[in-house]
Amino acid sequence: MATVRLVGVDFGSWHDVGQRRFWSGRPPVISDAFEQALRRQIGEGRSSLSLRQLCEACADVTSMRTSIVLVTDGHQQAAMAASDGAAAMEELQLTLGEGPGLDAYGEGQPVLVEDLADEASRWLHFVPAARDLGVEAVFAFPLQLGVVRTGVLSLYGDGAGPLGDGVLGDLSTLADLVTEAVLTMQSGAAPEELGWSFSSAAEHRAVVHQATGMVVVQLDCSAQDAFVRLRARAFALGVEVDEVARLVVERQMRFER
Amino acid sequence: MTAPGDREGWLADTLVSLADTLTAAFDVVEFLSTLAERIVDLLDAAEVGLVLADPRGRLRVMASSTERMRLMDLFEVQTSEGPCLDCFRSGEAVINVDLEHAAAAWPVFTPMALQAGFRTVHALPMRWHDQVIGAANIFHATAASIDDRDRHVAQALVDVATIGILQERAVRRGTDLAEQLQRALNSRIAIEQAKGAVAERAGVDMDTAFGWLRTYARSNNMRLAVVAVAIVERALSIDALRTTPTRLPEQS
Repeated sequence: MATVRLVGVDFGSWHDVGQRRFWSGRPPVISDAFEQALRRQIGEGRSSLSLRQLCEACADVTSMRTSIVLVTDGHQQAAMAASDGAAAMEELQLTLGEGPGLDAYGEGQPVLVEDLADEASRWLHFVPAARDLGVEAVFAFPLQLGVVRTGVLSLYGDGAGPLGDGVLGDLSTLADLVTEAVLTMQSGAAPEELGWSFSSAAEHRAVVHQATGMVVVQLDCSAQDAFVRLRARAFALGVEVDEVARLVVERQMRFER
Repeated sequence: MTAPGDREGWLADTLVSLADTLTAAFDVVEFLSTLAERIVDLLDAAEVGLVLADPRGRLRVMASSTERMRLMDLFEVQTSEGPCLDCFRSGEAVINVDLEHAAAAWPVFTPMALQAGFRTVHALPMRWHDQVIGAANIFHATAASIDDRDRHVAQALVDVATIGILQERAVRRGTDLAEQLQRALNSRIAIEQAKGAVAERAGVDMDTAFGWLRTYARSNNMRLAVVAVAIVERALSIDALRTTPTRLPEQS
């Protein structure tokens, strides 16, 4: 399973210049509650976190069963991590061939269902079966980077109702972080080399996506493979992936088959 | 092209073209690209960009009047500081800021903007009631100023766009909006990936690549995001894009 390393979080602040207030620094990337839950999972003196632990941290903060399903290129389930009770929900969707997780993956957008009872016609088989297992709300987030799709992060609530304030943003952040971690794993770099930061990992600049598209053509490969090759080159050169991407876009670096 | 003497005619035409992109094959990026071009016309601006906030409140560029890398850099730096971030956080317009005197306010953004050839910057909120979903960023190359009349027209166009986005999927609750914005952000990433693929195959720059993708989507009545995914997944040949513009009547 993926191991990721947490590095410090850099928050911004307002400051005054003359009559006006300005914001500087990054907005908070993840809330204190999530950060603390993640740190509890990591424990003293250790620096890595498995996907299972990440699910446990989500379950801690939200009181919802949490799962992460990874999917291969062929849309087959490749791996799963889950907090207690969430694996059954994934097996259910796999068996029935329908459900919010499958839709989130297929449509490339979050599927946020505050009350499953309202969606009985959307998933004829899944809704009654899920409610039998005590689930009344589902929030599923695709693990996606444009065309690159790697899986789904899903939360299952015992009661109907919306996500708490700010939780939506936290879960979106976590989905991006897991996507990054999965792609990073696939780039073959050792986890301890990755210096994985909450403040930068989840956001790539446009130039990285443009370079990914260029490498797709240069190598005649999938977008996922292209992104992984960019990451691997960055690791090998000891620079940020942004920097490699810029060289590719400026046509100063090519990838050869 | 600036807003011509026939202002009413221009406005009507603009509203129709915005409404037109709201129909069947609605695509947020296409819609906002049209808006960006129209605001350039209206305000005789050098460049216009539209940013939307992701679920974490970070601003992401969704569309701009051109796809020059330097311009994209200017939008990207505003996740940390700049007129769009101030506008988004306060919900208020930032108008007629002379970049010669803005370094104290935005120490990173200001020199980048000056170096890119801009002198004046503005940001208009994409706001409906108490919900701010993003901002329109307007650049002038000169010490220009927007008067109240133009500002109101520009804000009205931005408001129309905001309502269009909020209504697209009959947004009932915050979660619907979140689902849709996340999809839009993802489709923007797919478009960047497709721009790269087209630029590499055809040996053109990113702006040209984007124009080809857009023209193909329009003339085949497809969503831009769908075309982008098809290109990157190699389900659609890049050579098909190249030939499209010459076969079709000019887009209005």
